[in-house]
Amino acid sequence: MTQPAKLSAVSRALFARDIRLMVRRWSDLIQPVVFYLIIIILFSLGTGADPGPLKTIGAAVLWVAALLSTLLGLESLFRSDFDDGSLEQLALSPHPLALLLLTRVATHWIATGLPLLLVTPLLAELLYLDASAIKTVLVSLLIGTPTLSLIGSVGVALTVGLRRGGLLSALIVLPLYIPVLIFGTGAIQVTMAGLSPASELYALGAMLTLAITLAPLATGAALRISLNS
Amino acid sequence: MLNSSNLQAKLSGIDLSQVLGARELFSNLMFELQTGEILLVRGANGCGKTSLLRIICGLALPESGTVFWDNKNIHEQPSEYRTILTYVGHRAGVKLDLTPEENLQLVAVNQAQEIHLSIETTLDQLGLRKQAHLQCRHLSQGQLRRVALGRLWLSGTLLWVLDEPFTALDDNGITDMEILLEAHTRQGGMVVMASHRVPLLRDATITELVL
Repeated sequence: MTQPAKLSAVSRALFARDIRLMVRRWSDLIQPVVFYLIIIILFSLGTGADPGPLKTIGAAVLWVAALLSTLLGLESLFRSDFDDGSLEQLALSPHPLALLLLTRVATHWIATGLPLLLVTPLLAELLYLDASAIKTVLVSLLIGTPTLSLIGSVGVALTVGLRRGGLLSALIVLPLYIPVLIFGTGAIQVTMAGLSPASELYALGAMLTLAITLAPLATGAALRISLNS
Repeated sequence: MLNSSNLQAKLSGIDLSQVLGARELFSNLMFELQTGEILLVRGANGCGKTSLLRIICGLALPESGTVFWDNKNIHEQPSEYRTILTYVGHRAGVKLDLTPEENLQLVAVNQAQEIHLSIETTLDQLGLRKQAHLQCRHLSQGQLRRVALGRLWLSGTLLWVLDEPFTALDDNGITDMEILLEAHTRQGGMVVMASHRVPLLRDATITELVL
């Protein structure tokens, strides 16, 4: 009996291909980060010259913006693969679909989630976040946004077969984002109050661990359902 | 080359039925396919050929009935079954932003257990040497079809499931495809294909299944 190629080799090839595709379709990729920038700039312009309100809600604005732009970016996670049949081929791979999807979501996060982190230090000034808080902001985003991508991948997988699935997947996924939002903003507020954000960050870490373990399995099952119809 | 240990393999479908909405596509369908044989699925447009092929691949679930590989339900051995299966559907997973060569690279890693042809040779065989570094969006329909079918050249799998493989191919392309099918069956490979055209093969057993 012939043996299939090693899982690590397949994951590497998939990763390389996805990165290459993303570089060629960079215009799709910059949308989430531009959206993120614009929301935050609009808030800072909208609240006027008084730093008071933004000091209070800055953390929430930052996280809601990150949450919405992640959701926007997720639309491109499976769409083109579903349309051109690549998803069928992925589902027919002898390797566990969940692990291949974990590679896919990780690649997607590198392309859409990581840029959010990179521009955030520039925005901190606009939201009147003190220097001490910036570190917490970055760490919480670093742990939180992959969780958002993983949870979101389940919703996108469920709705990829529908013609106007975008809004539906947002409705499915947004309520599930609430715990990440609470602990993400909590970590920043606690830091600004001069306390240690460790417990909030640990909670975010626990959520990420849970999402890495369970979300790919759910995404795989959801994709098989979408492909069945 | 195909491994000879699998030469007694058998694919069979028992009592397969499928419905689309309220409409019955086919019911109580039976078929059996031995090594070295071709099952040609024929029928009018919209009669459920693609649905049947997707059921055989395990992508879609039938309303009732079972597909067996080596007398075992394919859904009880998904990983083993997918190891011996190559499916080329209507939408064949060709990325328009990638070149033919890049498209085949993932196939080569994912599909081929023992690659018996290099990607370069495959591109030669497909007549796409000049287009190897051109993004697929600049290719014609027939050339895209060739890229999609390229996975067959690279695969060492036993069972091929092909949905309208001759669509958009020119005369040379069809001849190349027939030569490939003949070589595959001669080595003991099995093919399930939906096609309106009966392939001209000299010494392969072709069973017709009319829906």
